[in-house]
Amino acid sequence: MEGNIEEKSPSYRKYDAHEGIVFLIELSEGMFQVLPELNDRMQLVEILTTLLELMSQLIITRPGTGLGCYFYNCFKNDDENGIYEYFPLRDLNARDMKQLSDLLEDVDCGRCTIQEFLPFSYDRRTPLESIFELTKLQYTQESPDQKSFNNRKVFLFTDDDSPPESFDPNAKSRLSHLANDLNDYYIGFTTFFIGSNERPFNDAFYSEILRLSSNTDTEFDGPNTKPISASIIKSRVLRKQEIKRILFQCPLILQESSSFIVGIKGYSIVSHEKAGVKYKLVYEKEDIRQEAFSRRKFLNANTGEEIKEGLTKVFPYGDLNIALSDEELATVTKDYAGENSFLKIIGFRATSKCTQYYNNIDKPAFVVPDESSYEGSIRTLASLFKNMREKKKSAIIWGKTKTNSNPAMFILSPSDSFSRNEGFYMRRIPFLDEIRKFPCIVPMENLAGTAEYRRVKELTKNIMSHFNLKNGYEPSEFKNPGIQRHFKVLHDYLLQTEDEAYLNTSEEKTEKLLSEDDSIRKIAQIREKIIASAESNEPQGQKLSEYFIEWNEIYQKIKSSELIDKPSIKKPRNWNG
Amino acid sequence: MSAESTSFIIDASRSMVQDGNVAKAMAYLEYALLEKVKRQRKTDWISCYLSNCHNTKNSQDIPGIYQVQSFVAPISTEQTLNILREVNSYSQDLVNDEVKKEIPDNELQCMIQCLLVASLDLKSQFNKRKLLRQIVIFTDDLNGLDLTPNEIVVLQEELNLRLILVDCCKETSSEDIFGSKWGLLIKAIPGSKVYRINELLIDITSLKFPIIKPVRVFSGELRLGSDPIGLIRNNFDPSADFKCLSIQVEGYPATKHVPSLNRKTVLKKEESGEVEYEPVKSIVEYETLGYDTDKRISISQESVAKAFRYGSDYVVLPSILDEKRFLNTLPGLDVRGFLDRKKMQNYYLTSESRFILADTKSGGIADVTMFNALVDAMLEYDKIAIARFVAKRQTEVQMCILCPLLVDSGVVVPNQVNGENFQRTFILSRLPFAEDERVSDFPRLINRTTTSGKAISQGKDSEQIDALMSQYVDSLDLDAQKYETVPDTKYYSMLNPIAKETSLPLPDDFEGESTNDPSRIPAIHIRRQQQVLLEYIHQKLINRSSEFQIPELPDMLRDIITPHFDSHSAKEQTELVKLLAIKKVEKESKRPDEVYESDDEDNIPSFEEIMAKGAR
Repeated sequence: MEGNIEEKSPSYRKYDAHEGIVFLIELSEGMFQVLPELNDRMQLVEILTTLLELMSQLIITRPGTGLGCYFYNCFKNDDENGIYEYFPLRDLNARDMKQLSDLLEDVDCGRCTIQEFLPFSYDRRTPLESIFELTKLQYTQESPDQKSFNNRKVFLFTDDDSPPESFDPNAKSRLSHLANDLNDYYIGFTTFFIGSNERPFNDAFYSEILRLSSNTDTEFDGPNTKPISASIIKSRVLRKQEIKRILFQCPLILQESSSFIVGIKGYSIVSHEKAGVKYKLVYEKEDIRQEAFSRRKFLNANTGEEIKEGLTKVFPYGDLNIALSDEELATVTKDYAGENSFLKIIGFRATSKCTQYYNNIDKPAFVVPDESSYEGSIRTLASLFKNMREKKKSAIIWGKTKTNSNPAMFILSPSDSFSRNEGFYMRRIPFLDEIRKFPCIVPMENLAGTAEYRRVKELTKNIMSHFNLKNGYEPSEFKNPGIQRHFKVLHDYLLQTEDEAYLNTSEEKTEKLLSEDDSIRKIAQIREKIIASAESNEPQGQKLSEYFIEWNEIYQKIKSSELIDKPSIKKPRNWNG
Repeated sequence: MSAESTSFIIDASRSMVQDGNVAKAMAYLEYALLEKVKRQRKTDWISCYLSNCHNTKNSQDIPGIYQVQSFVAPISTEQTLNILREVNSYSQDLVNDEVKKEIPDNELQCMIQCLLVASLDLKSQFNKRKLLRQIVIFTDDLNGLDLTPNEIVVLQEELNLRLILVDCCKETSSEDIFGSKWGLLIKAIPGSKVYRINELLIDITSLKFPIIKPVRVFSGELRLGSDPIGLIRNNFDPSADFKCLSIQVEGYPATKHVPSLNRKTVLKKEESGEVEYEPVKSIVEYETLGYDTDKRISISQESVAKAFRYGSDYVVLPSILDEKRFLNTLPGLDVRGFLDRKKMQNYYLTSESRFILADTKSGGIADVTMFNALVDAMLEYDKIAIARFVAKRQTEVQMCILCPLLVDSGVVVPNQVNGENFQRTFILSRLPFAEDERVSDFPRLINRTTTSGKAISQGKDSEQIDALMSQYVDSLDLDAQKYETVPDTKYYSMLNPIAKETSLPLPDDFEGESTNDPSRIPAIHIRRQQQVLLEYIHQKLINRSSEFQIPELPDMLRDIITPHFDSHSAKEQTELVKLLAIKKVEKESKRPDEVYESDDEDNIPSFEEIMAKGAR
């Protein structure tokens, strides 16, 4: 795969990912079985629903991703190998999504069955070799309107652990060879071998053909072929599709003078996606529509003429302009920021003392060793990790993660035993300049210490205990309603989907609002719980509603007494403006 | 800070000059005036006088008083340089005996007259205008005021201003000061203060934080049990509904990024060796490829539309649909539930923080009471809340945490109950939505396996490595080294309305920022830039040096970012490094399954931003 992986100087190394995922789904009797662990759905429907969800997610987060979907052992058309190309590997688009969502809707409404749509029979099995060949072809064929893929994944779904090839030593050897070949093209398998207690999946055959034979002493020796239960298909697909996003890559200095330096990589674990930021400008006039471009121009503020040369940057200081040369600027920053990116351990502190919820200022990163820049990084950080965890310590770090960024202080904490991954979370801590003053509050009569106050606190505690979130906060439970709306409007317009004008009743409209906004739906559920309590026939069940009523009565009582007093309260001047 | 006027009076007596006190006063003035130059506030007036001076120039023609600068606002660099140069050259002349003397040095005694001239000048300049009037006096003669107690009373009534006396004596006790003539006057005039000159000089080299007044960024209801659909349809009133808790609250920034000092783009012009910079205007223009040509042609902003990306498609929406892209959102904070503090993953916090507090303006005692009870209840149960947050009408929906916090209000707000003086607040920070989360699997650090799942054996020296690493961590253990941690209640401090009524750099009576908490540090890049710019002005403009020698990074800053090793053993570390066999890899390889998070994607300016820039 020459030329696809760019090697530029480290600070500029950024490369345009073009990722592809091919879904290969083997039809079998099991695939059409309704499973209790999937809420009485078929595995096949679960896979297709997952694919649609993946597409809807990628259209937002990585719209340039390519997807393809193939079924085998399928007699949909005349293909002699029984391969049905549902859609070929190509960049995400509304049509493929619509095709899939229409199918799922038809199946859901009973307009067709999945068996009708995907006729399956073991009479003519698809040779695995042809599936492997097809994958290779999908990734290697040149297409004029599509860039080649530099991140190539195959998601293989099957519940058959012993296809005919598993009994044929020659076929096994050919497949093994083919798998190595695919690996040479950087095409990697992610396997979804679905098994259950009743029907365990033996991964011996696939493990043998997919295991990379080349050398035994490497971390990268082929895919993990451990079988999974059907119920985790979705979460595994959504996790395995994720491409690792490197935020930074730099040395971590443990002690400078003894060259105690290792390599680290920081990955993005959370971001802040916004709607409507991915667009092109277009020029529209009468019948013409073509791409437009924006260009920044500098004009002489006095004459209005465009300036072609002589532009420079200065530090404004009141009425002064101070120009420092690049060399001077480099000298100024050298002492505290070095030249290239780096992070340096300043000390260790008790984790409980330095991880707070009340002083966040930026997005965190997840830090792991980078063996590719310093050998021994894994060894070093594994030992540091163990020690920090044992001693319950976090590191205070000084440095900058990009060559041109301002250095700052960070807290590096080892992940705890509940975390999915082992590594370090890195959070920036605000500078004193970034910690704002708490506003002066107009001094006011305070009811703290009164019986009334104690009662309100008691009520509040009782109410709180009814709305306990046992599982903490799960981002996956909340889709961003703003982003969802933006993409829904685009989707509906692209596919000319009917407007929901047919929603007449207020209930239908409410239903729609709630279905499109997770955040509102969760808030509405809280209210439903309170209403249910108010309508309960059980005294115990009415408790919650009673707390709410009493809380409000006290609120109103204080408020009305305040109104009587109000003329006598002279608020001092408010310094907050 | 509202309008203010500062008159500087420098006692230019021989002793002041010879003991270097005029030079010290000038060092302070340079800093204080350049601060004002930087701010360029039109309501920040200054004037400057030399008293006990052999030259005479003042509105009342009183001998011995020389007005170096009449009232000006805002002061320019050139005027600042003039003041400094004039005072310096007078000092030089006095030392070199090149001053024309009409009376001997020791007979010059005109501080009181100078005070009166300054006061008269203030009156004629500002009449009855409302502004803070202050006179800063630098002197080493605390009894150099010829006043009887009765005269002090008269003067106190006459002077409608406050005095800031800068004591330039070598050693004085507070009794010396307040027993002196100047001291009595200071005591008599409300708001007046005394500082020692060295105290001021230390203060201007120490770290100062610009105090930013809190600006309200949210005002609305904090609710539990509201009807979200009813709110959208405008047929639900949370404050009148007994199935819903509703408290009036407001929000202010708690942490906020500070950028480094920004450079601005200008046009450089060189004429006969003189460099000048002219202002430029930046605009955004739109272009497209011309018909039948490869050349770009300009097009009007009105004919430019946005084509939104949808996978491989780009969509231009008709305007009626474009409006539908936005949710109709209303400001408010709706609690979604409560959870144990330890169940909240710290790394889910993704934004700057905000204070959420009971609104005492549009709300009242009832809101404060209910709010405080909620904060207290959550603190007692060690809970935090998850809430849906919309800051302003038609802005994005966010999911947030609300973390309860007590803020020590220090001495400013009168004690409330049982001597406690905490203000109650929530700290709000954004949480990720489903689209924001990046879930991936990383190889394990301990009990490592290959990609197919085979265990990788631990290295042979792993026990010894762990033991040495343990020593390494201990050698940098800040907790063992008695570094302080600022308690939660003092992490944020209260805005002190009295301390900052003047922009004059003065030692702060209230700020107790003396802790050695290693995680509370100033923004070093900003400090450094400011230091360099001030030094540039000092060297190139005041001292007219042709070269600019970049000053060293101050030790105070350097220490903060130097690892805090205790008596660490270099030998053990060398051994550890050897055992770990760390080696820099010359040619790095890249994993094909990773990408660099692109900055551009995060920072694509919105169309509106581009338009706004263009409109400037």
